[in-house]
Order: sequence, then C-alpha cells, then structure tokens
Amino acid sequence: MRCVNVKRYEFFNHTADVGIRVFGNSLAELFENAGFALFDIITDIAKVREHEMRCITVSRESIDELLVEWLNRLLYLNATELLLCNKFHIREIAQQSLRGEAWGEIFQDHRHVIKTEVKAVTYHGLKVYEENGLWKATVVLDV
Amino acid sequence: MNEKLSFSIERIDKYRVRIPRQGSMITDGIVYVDTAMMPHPQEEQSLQQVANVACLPGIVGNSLAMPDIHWGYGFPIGGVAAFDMDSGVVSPGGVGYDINCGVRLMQTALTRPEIEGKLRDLVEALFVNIPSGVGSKRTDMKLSTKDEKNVFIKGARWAVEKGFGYADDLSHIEEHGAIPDADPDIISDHALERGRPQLGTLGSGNHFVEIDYVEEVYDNAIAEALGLCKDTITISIHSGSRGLGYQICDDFIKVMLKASQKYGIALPDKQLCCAPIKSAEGRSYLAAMACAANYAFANRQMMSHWVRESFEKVLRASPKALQMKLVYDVCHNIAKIETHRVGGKQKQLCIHRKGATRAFPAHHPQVPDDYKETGQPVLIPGDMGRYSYVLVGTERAMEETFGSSCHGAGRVMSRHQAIKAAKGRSITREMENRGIYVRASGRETLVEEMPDAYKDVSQVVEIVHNAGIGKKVVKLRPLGVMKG
Repeated sequence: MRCVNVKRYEFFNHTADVGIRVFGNSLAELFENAGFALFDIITDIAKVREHEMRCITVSRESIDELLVEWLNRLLYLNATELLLCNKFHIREIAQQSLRGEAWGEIFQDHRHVIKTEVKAVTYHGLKVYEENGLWKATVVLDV
Repeated sequence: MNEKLSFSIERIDKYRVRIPRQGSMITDGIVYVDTAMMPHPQEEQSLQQVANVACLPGIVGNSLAMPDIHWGYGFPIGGVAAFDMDSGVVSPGGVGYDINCGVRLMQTALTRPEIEGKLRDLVEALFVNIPSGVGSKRTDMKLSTKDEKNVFIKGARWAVEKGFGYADDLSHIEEHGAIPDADPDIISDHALERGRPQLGTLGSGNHFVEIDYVEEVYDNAIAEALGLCKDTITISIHSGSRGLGYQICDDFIKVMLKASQKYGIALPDKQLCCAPIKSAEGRSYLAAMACAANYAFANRQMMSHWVRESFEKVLRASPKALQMKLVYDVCHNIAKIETHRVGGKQKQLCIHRKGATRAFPAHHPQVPDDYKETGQPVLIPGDMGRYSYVLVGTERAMEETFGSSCHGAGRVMSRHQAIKAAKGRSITREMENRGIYVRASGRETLVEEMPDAYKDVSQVVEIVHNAGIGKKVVKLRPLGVMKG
C-alpha cells in the first residue's frame, strides 16, 4: 500500500545522461516506482492505459544488480514490442530475485509521445539502500 | 562537483596534464587539456576515472584522455587505454553502450549557392528516407536472423552487396567496414531481437544527419586530397549500433562482473569490470563487440545510400554527377587489436577508444592508398548550431596516444538542465535565425541537443592541433540538420 506522502522519484544532476533517485516504503514499492520513473522519462505516462500485462522474473547476485536487471527487462519490452507501461506490481522480492508484473499498452502514433530513448540502465553510482525506514535507490540511465 | 580529488596532478605543458602514478595506479594518467578547458583539474571528477583506468592490469603506456573528456561509465568519455595481449584486460566500459558510435563524412561537388533554395526540401527528403527517432524501425525491410548474422560478419560490405552504395566506399571506412573475428553465434536472443528491426535507422539523442559546407580551409593540399574545397557541400552521419550494441554491452557487463571476480581483478570502479583479453570471456566480448561494430558500419552505409537517393530526388541529378563520395567513416567507441611501437619494438595491443577516434598518420599501412600522403581523416562533429572539423592523423599521435584523437564536443548541461533552459524558447526558430534548418522527430530531443548544452568543439580541436595529435584540415558549418 503506497503511502501518499512518498514521492516516487526525483532527478539528480548528471551531465551526459539521466540520474534518478527513487523512493519507496518497501523494497517492492521501490522497484515499482523505479519502473514508473523509467517510463515517465520515456513517455507521457498519463496517456498510457493498462491494456496488457507482462510477467517478469529476474535474479542477480545482489539487490543493486537486481534493480538494473528489472529495469533493463522493462526496457527490452519497450524496445522490442514498443510496450509502454504505467503500472507495476512486485509480487515477490528478495535480495537476489523478484517476480513482478508490468501493465501498459503498445505504442500508438496518434496517442502516445516518446520523449526520450533510454539506451540502457547503467551501474553508475548504483545503490539500493534503506534510510530511516525509507527505501531509496540511485541509478543512471544512458540516454 | 567541487570535491577535491585526493591525488596529485601536475601540468606538463600548455596542453597536457599528468596524474603521476600513485596509489593503485600502474602507470601515469595523461590528459590533453589547457587551463581554459580545465581551470581546476584538482576538482575535476573525470580525472578520477583516468586514474582508475591506470589501475587495470596489463595497461601499456599511459591512461589517456582527450580534451573532450567528461565523466562516463568506468572509463571517462574521451578515454584511451592500451593493453598487452597476454597480461592485459578488455572492458566493455572502455567501449561504451553504443558500440561503434561513429561518424561518416560525404563530399559533393555542390556549392552552397547551388543548394540554398533547396535546403528545406533536402532535409525533408532525408527525414522521409531515413527513419529516425525513438523506436524507429524500417517497415520496408524484413531482416531474417540469417541476414542479421551476415551483417555481423560482413559489416558495410553486406550493405554494398545488397545495393547500398558502392564497393569503392569500403576502402574509405575504418577497417574497410568490417572488424574481423565477429562471432554471430554468441549474440543473445535479446540482442538479436533489438537489432533486427533497427537496421537502417538513425536512432535519436545526439545522432544526426547533417548538411554542411566547408567554411574554412586550414591546409589546402590535404583538403584537396580529401575532396573538400571551400564552400562545397558535405554531409555527415552520426549514428551507432542501436539497440543491438546497447544490449550486447549490457549482456557482457554481467559476464565481466563475474569474470573480474573469477580472475581476481581488483576494480576501483565496478564499471571497469573486465577479463583478460585471451580468456574465454575476453575473446567472447571482442567477438560480440565486432558484431555490433559491423552492424553500425552497415547501418551508416545504408543511410549514406539514402542520403544519395534524397539528393538525387531533390536535385534531379545522379549521385555520380554530384560526385557524392565517401570521405571517411570512423568509430568513436571501440576496442581494436592494433600494432604499435612500444619500447622500440612492434607490439600487438588491445586499444580501447571510448569517445575517441583513431588518427593514423600518413604512410600508415591501414590508411587508404589515396590518403597515403595526407594521413587518415579524423571527423570531429560539434553541436548542431556551430561547426564541425576534419583533421588528419599525425606521427605524434602514434607516439603519444596510440594513434588516437578526440571525438567531439562533450556536454556542459544535463538534459534536464537543457529542458529547463529552453523553456519559452523555440530552438527551431533560433537555429533558423542562424541560417540552419532543423527537422527533428521529437521536440524534447531537439531541446536536449541545443548548442548551449555543448562545449565549443573548436576549443577541443585547438588543443588537439596544438598538442600535435591531430592536424586541422577544414571547418564545416551546418546548413540543415535532421535529428531523431
């Protein structure tokens, strides 16, 4: 259940690319908000409807790498299917694996606008951590 | 970023700064900058990355950075580093996500007055004929997996065989448009999926097709040999390996993170993850990187064919009549196996150039025959509102930088800052006031790429020229720009 006072993400300064700091009341919510941030950068997310769903299961060596993997998997769906997502639900998450869902629809010329092409999710300044009961993550997107 | 770096830095001369070997560094760092470009090196975070690269095993010579240096992933942008084939490492971070992002320059016999009234039509024709923008893909061409794998091996030659451009073009492309030892069978399904629909597309961000004219000539003899006379029209294409390259880089960062641990390589920065060149992981990366590089060569070859077709359609004259020839095509993000002189002996090395360009001198065996007297052309694009340059490689570059030079301008504003700075402004109109017609797929891309967001490339080029690691030949000015 998302606490309405927590903003999902903010930008931090990075000259060549896009740096984001993501927040969440739980690890699951952090990852959901990271997915939201990704597509908020790619498109006008308000115009995206929840027509289709994709299941995503990933595992990596650490929670930091898991975040990169989750976002890169979303990016892959965006790149290959032109899928735009606006809603995310992490069903299960541990330090090295997660199972989640992403809802959205396929890009349509007349309805959607693409603002930025995100090439990849990088490991630059990558950090997933808990601070005063709030989960945070910093990640840089190569655009 | 004003936090002072913890290591010492000293200025060698007007154009060079040294980070002396210290701490875990195996060698010195040498950065080509003057005091105007970098007034406070001690506060420059990108120098930390130069120092980090100097810690990698098997590094030969110095950890280098060109004047367009800025903060990257692991390696700085503008970074050059050579590694011993037996004791050294190869790192995807030393190449970048956009493998073989590079530039191609075409010359024509047209002069500026001849196309002035037709400029809009030319740019519009380019916009129609060359898919660009996010998610751009060609619907007129269905590439099978078999075709895609052929592209990975043959590179630009595949495109020529399919009727895109001429066989003559190949000798004017770095590596003749195909890096050897590509292995298509190790490319992941995800990478194949991303690459398949995007062959023949420009992409977005800082990729462009640009119509320029030669504004100034610095060396008449060399300019003439390259086919670049004052006031003649040229066309530049800046693009890379699209989603294929990004996915291959991502796939191999995962491999290299594990490999670094497996081979006990201490990483000052996770993004310098690497493996010994001759290890299975190292060889796989180079073979996959070659696939992406060759895809990018094929891509630029196809786009230059459509440039020729666009000019033919609008000007109603054949590309041959317009003398639309390829001047040269260079990589900016690549790792190459090259032979260089080290300690008086010829030695094979793995050279990483990340946001840096090969710059071989006159008479180098890899320089095309018709450029034997001039040296290899080095293409340096600036931002879309100012200028670009053509240089040639020099002997001094061979001695000091493993035959490497800068690649472009480098950003000063983040994309976010650029969007803020552009509020209430029409970048399209500002460009038109400068006499430049711009056509972009997305408004935000145009804003993010506005001239104010970039350094002045002439500063970068002046340092390269004065340091002797490149020689200025001509300056180009944009007239029409097409962006994704």
